Amino acid sequence: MSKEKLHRFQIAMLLFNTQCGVAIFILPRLTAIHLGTNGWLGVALAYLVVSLNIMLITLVYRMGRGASIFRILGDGLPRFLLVPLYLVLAMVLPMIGCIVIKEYVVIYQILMFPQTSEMVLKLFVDLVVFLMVTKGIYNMSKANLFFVAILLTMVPASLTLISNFDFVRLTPFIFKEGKDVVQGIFRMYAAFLGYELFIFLFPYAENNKKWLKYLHLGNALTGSVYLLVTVLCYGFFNYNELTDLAFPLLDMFGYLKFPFIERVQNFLYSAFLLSIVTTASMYYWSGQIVVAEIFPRLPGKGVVFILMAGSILVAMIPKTLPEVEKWFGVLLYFESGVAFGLPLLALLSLLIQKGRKSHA
Amino acid sequence: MSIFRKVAKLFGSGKGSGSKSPEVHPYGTPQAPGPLTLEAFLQEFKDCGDLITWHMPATSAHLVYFDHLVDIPTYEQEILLPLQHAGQEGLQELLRQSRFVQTTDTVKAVKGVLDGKVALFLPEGVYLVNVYNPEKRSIQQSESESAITGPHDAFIEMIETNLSLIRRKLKSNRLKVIQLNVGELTKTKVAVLYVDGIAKKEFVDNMVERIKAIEFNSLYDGTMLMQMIDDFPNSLFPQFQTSERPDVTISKLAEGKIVVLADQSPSAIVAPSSFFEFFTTPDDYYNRWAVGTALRLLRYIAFIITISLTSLYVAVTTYHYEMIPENLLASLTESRSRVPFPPIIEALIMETTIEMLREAGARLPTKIGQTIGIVGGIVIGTAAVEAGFTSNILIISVAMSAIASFVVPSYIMSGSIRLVRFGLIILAGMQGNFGFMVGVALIIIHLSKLTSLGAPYTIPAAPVKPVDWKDIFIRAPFWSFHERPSQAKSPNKTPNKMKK
Amino acid sequence: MHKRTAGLFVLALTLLLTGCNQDQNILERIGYIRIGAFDPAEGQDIRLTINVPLTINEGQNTKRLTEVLTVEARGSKEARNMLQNQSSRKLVSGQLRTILFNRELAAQGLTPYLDTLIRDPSISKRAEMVIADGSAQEMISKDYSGHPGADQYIDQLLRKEFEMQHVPHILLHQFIRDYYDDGKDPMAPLLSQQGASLALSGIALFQNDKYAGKIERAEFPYFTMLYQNQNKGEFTINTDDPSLKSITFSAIKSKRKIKVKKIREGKYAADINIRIEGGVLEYIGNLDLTKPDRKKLEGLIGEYVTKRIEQILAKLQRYRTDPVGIGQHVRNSMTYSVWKESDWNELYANMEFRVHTRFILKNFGNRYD
Repeated sequence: MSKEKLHRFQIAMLLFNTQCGVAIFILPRLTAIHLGTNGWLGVALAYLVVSLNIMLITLVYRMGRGASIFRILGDGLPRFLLVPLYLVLAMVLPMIGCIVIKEYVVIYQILMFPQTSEMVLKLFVDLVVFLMVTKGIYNMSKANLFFVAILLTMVPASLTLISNFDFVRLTPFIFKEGKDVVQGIFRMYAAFLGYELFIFLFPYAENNKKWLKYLHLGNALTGSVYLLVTVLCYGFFNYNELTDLAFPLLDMFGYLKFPFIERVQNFLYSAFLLSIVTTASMYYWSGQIVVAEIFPRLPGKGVVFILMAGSILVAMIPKTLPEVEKWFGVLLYFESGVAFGLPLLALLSLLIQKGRKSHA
Repeated sequence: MSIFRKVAKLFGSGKGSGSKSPEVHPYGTPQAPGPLTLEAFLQEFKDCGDLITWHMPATSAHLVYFDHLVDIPTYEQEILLPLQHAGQEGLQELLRQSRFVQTTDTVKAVKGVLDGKVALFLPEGVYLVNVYNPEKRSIQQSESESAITGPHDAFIEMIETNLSLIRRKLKSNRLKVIQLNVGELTKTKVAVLYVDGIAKKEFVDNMVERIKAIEFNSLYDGTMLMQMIDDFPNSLFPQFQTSERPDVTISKLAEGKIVVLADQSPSAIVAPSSFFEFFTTPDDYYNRWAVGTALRLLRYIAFIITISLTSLYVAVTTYHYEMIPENLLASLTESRSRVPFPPIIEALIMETTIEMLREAGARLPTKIGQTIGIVGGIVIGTAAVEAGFTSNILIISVAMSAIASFVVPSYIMSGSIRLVRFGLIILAGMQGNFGFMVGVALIIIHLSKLTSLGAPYTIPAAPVKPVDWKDIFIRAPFWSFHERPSQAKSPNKTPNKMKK
Repeated sequence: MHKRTAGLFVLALTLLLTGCNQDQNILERIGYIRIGAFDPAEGQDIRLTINVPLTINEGQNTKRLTEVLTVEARGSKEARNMLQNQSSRKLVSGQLRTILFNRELAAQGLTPYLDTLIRDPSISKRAEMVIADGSAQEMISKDYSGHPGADQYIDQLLRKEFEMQHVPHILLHQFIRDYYDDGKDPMAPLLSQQGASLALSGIALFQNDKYAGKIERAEFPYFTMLYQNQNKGEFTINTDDPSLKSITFSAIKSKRKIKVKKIREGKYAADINIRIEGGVLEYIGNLDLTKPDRKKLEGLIGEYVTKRIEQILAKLQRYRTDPVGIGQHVRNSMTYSVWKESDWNELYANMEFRVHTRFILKNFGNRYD
């Protein structure tokens, strides 16, 4: 592992890019279906929930005085309880990373390469992810900075769509016609997932507490990008259309036209690979360090290889987009459990330690 | 195992890499040296026909030297004449001068003569006198790094002159020079330069250690030395900047970086370097800052064009026809319609042709080089299109990326970028935009991994050092430069106040 | 370390062996459909005609030809597959620029044909959606003198009209968007044959997906002002009034505002405020454009424009179509439940419109009188 510590800005960008995933392309539709009219408000609600969750994580860091999550858990809780938990994490985290790639690739297949096997495309992404993860978290965060710089050029591009934006289409009705507001908020919240991995980052971050604030910065960036995208979609399309379009964001970018290039959504969706790579890499990386906690002797690269090979085999099962989304949904339920459960467990462990100390 | 060991192993001359104590290595000669006598000494130089031996019966002195390595007038003035005219006392007086260095070591004596010293064998002992001054090229403009304004002098193939060029411009006793030797056979002098108090000591030590660890038969150029000491020898990208210009060199020294000079080479190595430094030229600083900034941005745009233009052409014409705007579509289809190959083959053929043209032009004398340019221009530019061999839009794209690649000031970096481009073209031909983005991701991940002398290669973009951006992405006015760039990790950050 | 490098090589090799992607669409080997024209055929079938430009090489000469193919089928993609048999190229829809629907087909409802336009990700939402007054097939099969092909002719004709803001900029995206909107009806440019050439003869109005009527060419400037804020354009007013025989404006700038008021249950009124600025290009009449007369002239023009817009609105109400999007404003002034309960078509027919036009003469051109 690199001795160098992660700069807080790098952490913020890493958080942003980990959160940002394929969800952004379907987010407007999800809000429209589940929340109904003006569903973009749901993004703000989900953002608040996530902020609370991040506060919980920062609380663990403050109370544990920067110790690694494994040490915090290990000091307070018996190992026979933790090992199964770690095993489950070691299986699920890489699975999520794998499904993220899978979903991206399946959408790519739908949009551009209908004849190509999605596994071929996935193999390419897997190769990139493998190389990324084996470089270690410090180099990952550096590469990620370039990724973010490339991805954020989409924001000014999307601003050129404002001339087609009409407030009239937003309608004054709030959350009408939504199927299931609770489900909608959950899906919104799930789009923010990825921040929960940063609980594993404690020993790698810079030593002061400033970086905790930068977690919120990264989250705010995600929130504002999501908000921008959904609001734009609500004003660019109308509500009924949004519920019917599979990937509204891509349709919106498809409307963009530059003198030398048209249909930029092709390119932008390809560029989104850079976000997928970071997201998947972070999940695989977390899986790797969890495995390293159970079996400290194993070589890091071998672990990553085995995790990837295993998850790829499992990921061969779902074929269609709805299947992939269903799998993803189940994993996301689990992951949101981790997002709240792990910090709470860590706090519990810290309390037990304190209790022991005061007794001793 | 540290990185430089790995490097040394990679370049190792077949011997075991185990024992590498610096005392044994650099001066070791095959024969076991005996006591220093004239006979033993001459035996070392057996069959060296160009060795001159001069006997002076009056003082029973023997002078041994290579006359093409020494400066004859100085030799006559300083050694020959005094020796001839001096009596016994005068001789003792003469030998006390600092020019006359006594030695009893055969190895040292041999090396001294090879370095252009005159060996003086007297009954009193053996003395070495340095009158080294071989024939050399005069100081000229650099061919590969010419600048329009600013100083025009450039390094030549002699380390003494190069050091003098640097000392002339950086008059400080804090400029330290560590002398080393590299190459079993060539025994090339290598000098590690740094400014004491500005350069970080760990970097200097690391660099010296790496150079000492080199086990290689011969060293011919600084760029070769650079590959023996860099962190990732298998990487496509050069990890140290090289320069033939003294002004660049001293500016880097002043930034707290280390400069390595090799004898018989006009290229100085700057360490540590960042990826973005390869896109800077001294002209940026000699122009007004707005112009300098514009030039710098131009170079980054050129970099992006070089990397991506042809591969995007391949991706779009092979897979993403819908991205072509209407007014371009007709002409593109028309020019493509007569080409018998798929775009990927077409692009590879053309890119290879351009590379061949460039390579041919580089090797040939200037006059024939011009012919190559004309032949290439006409044959490739016009005839190939008319014959339906390639599409003219591809010609434009290939030519543009070739021109753009020459905008990158560093020749070595420009070569790396051109090679990377081929990878991207192939990936784009395989999977369109998707393959292109995979390639971009791979390049970025690779670049992020690289280090230069242990310092991050992509600094100041990653890790982020916004303070340094004003001298990397733009060229801000001089008054805004308050700190030395962070890559050098200088213990003395503020340039204008040299602390004692 | 070397082992790893070898591993990477193996991986790279497998990637290479997976080889080129199956979805190659090499530019010169595909036939990109430029226009798709839909005409009614017997039964439930449609007749699809496509226009595919081809580049043919004969020795040193490159010729540009246009292939026009026709087939009858149930759906457009089925038709494309059938046409595939006739074409020398692989037919793709990614460069589809114009979609022509026959007016009779449009009168039956476009919903079945819109499906693939929304579903197929390769179809650009910037394609022009056009209604053909007459046979669409004929329109794109004909040769037009002075133009290389019908595809370019129609495309450029429409683009010019959009750019000069003679008609609102309606592309497939806007059509679909308004088709989905419950407070607005879609519309599309109406193209008809005039002698040997084509002309934009009107704007086709829709009630949901069914063609309901059209806006005449003469009504274009007023309709456009009603529909959108304009920042470009020219129009002429001719009346019998001796003080306003004929006047032509250029550099039009208009701004419209719609305010909806509830008069009583089931009766709504809309205040439409339009502010127009324009410079005089030609004036035939007996007024001096000096100060007092100018106010008078401005008033006259305002009244005239008001009258024309009211006529258009009445016509729209008669057709029960709402392309302007009054419904959106009505909807936004209500609560959700009221909007859902009320029958917008009924409300619309009974709506009262109060048009207030203010005209401002920006300049008098080169002549100061």
